[in-house]
Amino acid sequence: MNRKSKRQILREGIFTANPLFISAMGICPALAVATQASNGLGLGLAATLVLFSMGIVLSALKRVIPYGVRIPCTMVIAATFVSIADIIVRVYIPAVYAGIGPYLPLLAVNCVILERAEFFYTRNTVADSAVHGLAVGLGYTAGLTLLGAVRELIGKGTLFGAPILSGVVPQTPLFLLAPGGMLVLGVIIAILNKLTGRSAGSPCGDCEGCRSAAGCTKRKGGRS
Amino acid sequence: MRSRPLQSVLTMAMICVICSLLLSLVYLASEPRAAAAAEAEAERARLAALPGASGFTLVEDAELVSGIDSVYKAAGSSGYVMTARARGYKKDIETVVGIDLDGRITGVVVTDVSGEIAGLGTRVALPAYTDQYMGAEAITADPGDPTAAYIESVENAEEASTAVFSCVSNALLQYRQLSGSEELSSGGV
Repeated sequence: MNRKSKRQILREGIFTANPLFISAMGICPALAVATQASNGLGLGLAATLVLFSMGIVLSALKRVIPYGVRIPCTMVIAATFVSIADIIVRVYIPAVYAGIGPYLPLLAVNCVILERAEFFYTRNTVADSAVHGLAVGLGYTAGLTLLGAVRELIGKGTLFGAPILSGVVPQTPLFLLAPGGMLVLGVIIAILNKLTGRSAGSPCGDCEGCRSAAGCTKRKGGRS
Repeated sequence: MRSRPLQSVLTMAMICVICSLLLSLVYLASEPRAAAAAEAEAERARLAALPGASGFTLVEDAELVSGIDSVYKAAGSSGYVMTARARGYKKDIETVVGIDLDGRITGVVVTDVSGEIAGLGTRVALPAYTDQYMGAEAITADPGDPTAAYIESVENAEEASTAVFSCVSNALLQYRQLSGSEELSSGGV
């Protein structure tokens, strides 16, 4: 397997394989929590902390943890780091904690985190996993913050709580609800696809290390 | 690669122990700050319930009415603030009630509605509901009762509304008990 450079891993995590806009993972908390930019930023940073810590620990322990208990161990470690993130956000940024609600503890079973744990951390070095966790976390944070900012602007006329469009543009509370979130997410993905020239048949950019790569029709150089 | 069951069990147990220790350390390290933040939040709620007070002192020797957790006396004797709780939909709803020396409610702040369904029971914490209590000396859920302020429940949130109503009723009862005992003691002196 060809090793990717750190820059390549960073670029993939944040841009070309962005978990929210390209891989379409972690959409449930995105729709529920990212109703304003600060909530999206808070949840994203908590996810980054968990992804980064798990990257280091799981890749360091990949030869220690027997295959048969890999998933239970991953769950225990994920739950530990999520609980730590939960305590930190609750104690140090209570305003953000109130906005995120129960979705922070649910990060322990977030598909972004579990998918990374299964397909990347158990197959790569500690340094690569740490960079990858950071990149995917920052990509997820950027996605959640952008989604939250757009919904907050259209739905409330504010950005990070500051009145920007209040009184200028009529507020549309629909965008603060899940259907409005789905609409905004779809439009952002469409715009990004248009800008990057990506189509439905384009590879997701993460073929190496992907268990489904052999049979994937979107794989670089694969069946079409 | 097949692993031996004992190795799997030991690894799993070791990871659980290390994770537990790590969590305990983080909890212990953050506990003082969490307690301080909780106390600051409680003080903010007391100030919102009895605006204008410069501080509060816990009344330690108060004989607490059922459902009342604590009683605070405002500095300068401008009134009392009671922390009350009553069963809501899934768990207790916590409410802070301020009452001035005339026996009038100065504010009701619902501080914990975590057991309620978002958008339904949680609406009892909104001013649209809590403002009904403002200035009342006695409250009733009977619209035909002219002797007390009628409190209308939040639609589709009867359990949560009843819980807050009980909290405020108990706070009024506690106030009467406190003012009665004060009158007795001042009369005795």
